[in-house]
Amino acid sequence: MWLYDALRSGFNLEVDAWSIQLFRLCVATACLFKFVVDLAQGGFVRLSRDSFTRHQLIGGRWRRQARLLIALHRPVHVLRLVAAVTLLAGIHPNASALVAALGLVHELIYEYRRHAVYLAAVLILCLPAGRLADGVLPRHHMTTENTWSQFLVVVLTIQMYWSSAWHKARSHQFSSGRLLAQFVRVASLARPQQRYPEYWYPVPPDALVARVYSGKFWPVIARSVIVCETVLPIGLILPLSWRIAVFGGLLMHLCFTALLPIRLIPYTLATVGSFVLFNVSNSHGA
Amino acid sequence: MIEVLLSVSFMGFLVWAGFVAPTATLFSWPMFSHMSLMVPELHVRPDGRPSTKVNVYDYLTPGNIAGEDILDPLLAYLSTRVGPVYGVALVYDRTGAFTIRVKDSHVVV
Repeated sequence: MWLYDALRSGFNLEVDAWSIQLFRLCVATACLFKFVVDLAQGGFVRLSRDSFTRHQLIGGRWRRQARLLIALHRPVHVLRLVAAVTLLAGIHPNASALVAALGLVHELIYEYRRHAVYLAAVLILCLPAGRLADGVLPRHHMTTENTWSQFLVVVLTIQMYWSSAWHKARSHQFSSGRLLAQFVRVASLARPQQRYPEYWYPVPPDALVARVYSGKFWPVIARSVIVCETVLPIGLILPLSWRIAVFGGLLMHLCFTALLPIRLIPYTLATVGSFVLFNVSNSHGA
Repeated sequence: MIEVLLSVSFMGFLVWAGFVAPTATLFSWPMFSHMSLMVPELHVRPDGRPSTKVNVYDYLTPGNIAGEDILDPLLAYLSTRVGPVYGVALVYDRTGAFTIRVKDSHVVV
């Protein structure tokens, strides 16, 4: 297994720079999508006077730094958008990744969302990569300069899936299917009240919803998610099962994205993009 | 060598954060594992004026589905700006569904 070989060799194992460069494109696209949507949905004035988010920030654990955070809000929004564009274009990729990550950290202070934690974390873990970009498009080039970064992103992604499965398996609310049923119900009731549309698909008919609720649909879906999240990292790390695991992982993330389409698209882009980092033998032969 | 030490430490931290530490810890990932959602029907009654319906989604950040945890801060916020809040909220949590009442910007179970 290349993860063990990389660690044992002190990260002197050669990997194809193409992998992390493709991942960089996915993460940069995810950031760009997130930042543009955020601006389109009033992100620029989110901390303006009398907003509820500002009220929470001033009354929360960061109240001492609140004035500074509010003053930095708009410049940070502009800078992180520029950083996402330059990261996508491969211009000063490490500096761009750092600025985009800092922009996400700033957002996490007033709106803590785990998909943003993952985005910020993988951007920070990409910083040690020596060949994060060779121009806009990824290029094949065997090097040891990216091995450590690739290792760290893969380790974090494995831990994220297993930790998520662990918490879901221990939660009766999730494993019984109740949480998913409740979420879909509340989200469909919330739709007409949301200021910015989140869903691209219509509200399912009541007859269909009633049939689905009364059956084993949600418990089966919930347990399938736990199994998928547990098995996916193993499938991705083994070269033989990599392709099947990519297909399964993509399907699982598309289902997640249906729950909160606009919100979870960046997370899906980043996690599915990380699949390419798992299998070094795949990039050798590509 | 420093990379190996940092990596092993990072992996140790990830094991602790992901499986041992409280769920609020950084790198703990309890996404969709525990939720307390609500469907609120709230009204504000400014002094001497008819009540006005409150849409909580006007105040939440986009893409948020209202959770019970947001109710108390939102009531405190609305009471200081638009007046006392009244109404009901249907709450969905791990025990099922139940209704809570809001009277004069306070939750009355």
